[in-house]
Parts: sequence; structure tokens; C-alpha cells
Amino acid sequence: MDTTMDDQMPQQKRKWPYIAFVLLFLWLFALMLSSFISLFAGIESDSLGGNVAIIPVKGVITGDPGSGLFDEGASSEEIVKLIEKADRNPGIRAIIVEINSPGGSPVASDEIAQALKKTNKTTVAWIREIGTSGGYWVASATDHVVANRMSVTGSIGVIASYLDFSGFIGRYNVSYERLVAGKYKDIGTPFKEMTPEERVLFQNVLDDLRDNFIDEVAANRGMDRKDVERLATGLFYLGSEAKGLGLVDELGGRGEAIAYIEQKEGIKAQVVKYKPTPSFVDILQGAFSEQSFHVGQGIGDALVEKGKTSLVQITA
Amino acid sequence: MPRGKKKMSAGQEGTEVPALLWKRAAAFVIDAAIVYAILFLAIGGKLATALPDAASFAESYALMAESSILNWVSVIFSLMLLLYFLLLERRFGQSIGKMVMGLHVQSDSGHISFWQHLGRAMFLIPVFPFMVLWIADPIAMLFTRNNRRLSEIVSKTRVVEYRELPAAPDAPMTDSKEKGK
Repeated sequence: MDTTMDDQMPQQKRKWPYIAFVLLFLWLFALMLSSFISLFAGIESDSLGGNVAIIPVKGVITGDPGSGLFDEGASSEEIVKLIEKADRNPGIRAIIVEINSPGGSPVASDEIAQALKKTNKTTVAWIREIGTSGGYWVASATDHVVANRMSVTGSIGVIASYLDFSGFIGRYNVSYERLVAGKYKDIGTPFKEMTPEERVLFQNVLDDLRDNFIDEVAANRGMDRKDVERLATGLFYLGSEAKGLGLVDELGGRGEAIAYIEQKEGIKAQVVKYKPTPSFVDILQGAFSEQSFHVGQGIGDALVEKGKTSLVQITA
Repeated sequence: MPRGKKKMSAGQEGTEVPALLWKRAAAFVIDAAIVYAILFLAIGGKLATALPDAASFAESYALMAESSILNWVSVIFSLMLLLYFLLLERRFGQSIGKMVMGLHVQSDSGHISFWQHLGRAMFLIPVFPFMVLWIADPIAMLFTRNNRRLSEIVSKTRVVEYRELPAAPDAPMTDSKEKGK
């Protein structure tokens, strides 16, 4: 069926308002969707810019990222990735590690410390309320340590602890049947009392870890090993005290950390926060696993951790 | 233009033929460019200010890829294209690119339903397995008789253009000229 030119003209006129509406709608759609994704996926396009990256180390330092979105703690895996990301960014001139951590896994703390030492950027530790043990280990690996005069830092040492249930299970006529292939395979199990020999072995491990900690702090801070060893009693210090002992370079906060960078690098600091950016799949997985985790948590807590015979936790 | 009608110069007769490949490609490039321009207007400014001044194009690209922003931009772009085609082709049977190139979408059965439109555009759904169609669709166009994409075969639609029939040798010239006035 043919149409004439006259028939087509009114339709052509009606087309353009609708097309304009579609294009405007798409523009709004793009704006809204990008904001929505930024909000829920934790993506900040701003994190691409700036010249000073702030990387938070908050909570207990652990190796692996948490199972859900709402897990608290500082995962060395994620923090190391952020440090490497900032290191690769040519616009970033310095990295501030914002520490508010009581420490955690010695391995995880060392991973973060090593990543900081590998960067070619200026690194500054900004200790907020607490930066003890593994938290201080990380701080010591930076070029400059800033702490509030009232913040708690130091606590150089290693702790290991476990719950001894042997008396408890004995009271209820439950016995621990020991089947091991390897004399020390069940060392640290909560179901039997630790023997003096095992205690010595454990203590040796802790001493070795402490020695490593002391070596690292002494090397990082340029201090005499004996001086650090004298301080490494596990005691914590207030910021003002720590400065007198040489564990901290400057008293202050974010402003002082930025001022140090500006002065050293000769730049006007534009600070950007680096934080993990979960993918869409991570978000969904996190939302679902969070529920599953809490359901399973009650059961899991009652059982000995799968594949492990020892429940001793070692933290720095 | 209502579906089934032929867009012709007044008084001339034409026929529907499968759209030529280059015309279809050109129409898609036009459509993609329009949607990309809208996307750039919406979020380009924010991205541009966020990237470091000293960074080269390659560095900027690497930074965006690393922060997963590039993935999200691709997802938004795909969804925008999907909406663009759905909204325009459902209403007019053609997108802006197709209007420029004189192409139309038609159904094998006459009327095109919403699901057929969605089926045509399913290669734009940024989820596996639809993403496979990015490769499968163009290949199918090369090897099918009427240059149909795989998703067009599934949705029972096709893209056509109208070609004018040559004037009959015995038709008096004056008649067609008069009709064209």
C-alpha cells in the first residue's frame, strides 16, 4: 500500500518529539544507573583521580577477605591490592595508610608491610585511635608515622591463646580419644591439657615470631635492635610516649600526614580514598552468603574447624 | 509510519528487499554513536575529572579497567542500547540509524509483538549466554539468505529496505511527472 508525501509529513512531525523524549530518557537512565551502581557497588570514580591515596586498615588484620559485605576487618589480600593499584597509578604521589587496628595475623600484617615497602611512592602511616601490634608492624613499614598524642600504639609482641576444655569434658564423662600420626599433630587441641614439652615448643614459635617482629621494626624505623627489643614487651604506649621512644615520628592526624607529603613531594595534595570495589557478582554473592553464613554460624561454632586439630590463635 | 506501508516517493511503486549488509552496519554505527554520545554526556564529565591529569589514554583505560568502572560503563551502554532499540523500533519500526539508511523492521507474520522486539535486541543483554550473540549474530548475517541475524531468525523478524521498481517501458513519462507534482 502506497502513501503519499502529504500523508507522511504529519507523522514525520510527530516522530521527533518522541525521539527527543527517548534520548532524554536514556540520558536520565544513564545518570541514575551510574549513581545507583556507585552507591551499591562501592565504586567511586573519584578514586581514579587525586594525587594522595588514603588506604584504610581498620579492624583486625586478617589474610582473606570476609565472607560477606558487612564483615569487619582488614584483609591483607584486599589492602595489598589497593596499595599496588595506587602504586601503578601515575597520578598518585603518596599513600597514607589510615590505621585503626589492634593487629591480627602476623603473616597478614607482614604482607601489608612488605607491599608498602615495595612501592615507589611516599608512604605515611596515620594512626588514629589504635595502632598496636600488627597495626604498628604495618605503620613501621612507612616512611613517616603520625599518631594522635592519645592514640594507643606499640604492643610489640606476639600472643597465642586457646581454650582448654579438658576439665570441662572430663566433668561430663566425655573422653578425648587421641589418634594421631605424628607426635605433635594435635598440639594445641582444646580437648587435652598442653604438656610442658608442647608448651616449650609453642613458646619457641612465639619467640621466633617476636624476633621477626623486632627485626622488622628495627629495620623499618632505623632503630637499634636492642632498643626495639627493650620496648618489645607487649606493652602499649600512648602516642606522646611513643614519639619519645622513637616509635612515632610526629604527633597529629590527617592534616599533619598531608602536610608532610606536601612538603616532601612539593605538591598540593588532592586526597582520594581507595577501598575495595566489589563486582556485581560479589554484591549478589555477599548478600546471599551473609544469610547463609549466619544460619551456618551456630552449627559451625559448635564444631572443631574442618581439617584442623589445633584451635590456637596466634596474633601480633 | 504504520507497519506494512511502503515509504515511497509519491506515485511510485516499490518492493521490499532484505536490507544490504553495509546499510545495516552503517545504521548500527549511527545508533551506537548516538547512544554513546548520550552516555558520554551523562557520565563522561565525571570520569574525565576523575582521571589523573598526567595519565595517557592507555593509562586512563587501564585505570578504568582495573577499578571495574569500564565493566559497569559497558553494562550501562548495553542496557541503553537495548532500551533505545526497544522504544524506537516498537513505535516506528526503525531506529534513527535505520531512518537515515531507509531500513525497516518487519515481522514474518505481519504484526511485531513486544517479545519479538525484545528477542531482536537480546544480543544486547549483558549477561551470558546472550553475549555469545555478539559473535554469532554477525556470522549468521553473512551466511543466511536474507542477511538475518540469529536473534532475528529466533524472533521471526527481518530488516528490509524498499526499492523503487523501475518504471514500466510503456508507461507515459508525463503521467509519473504529473503524479510527482
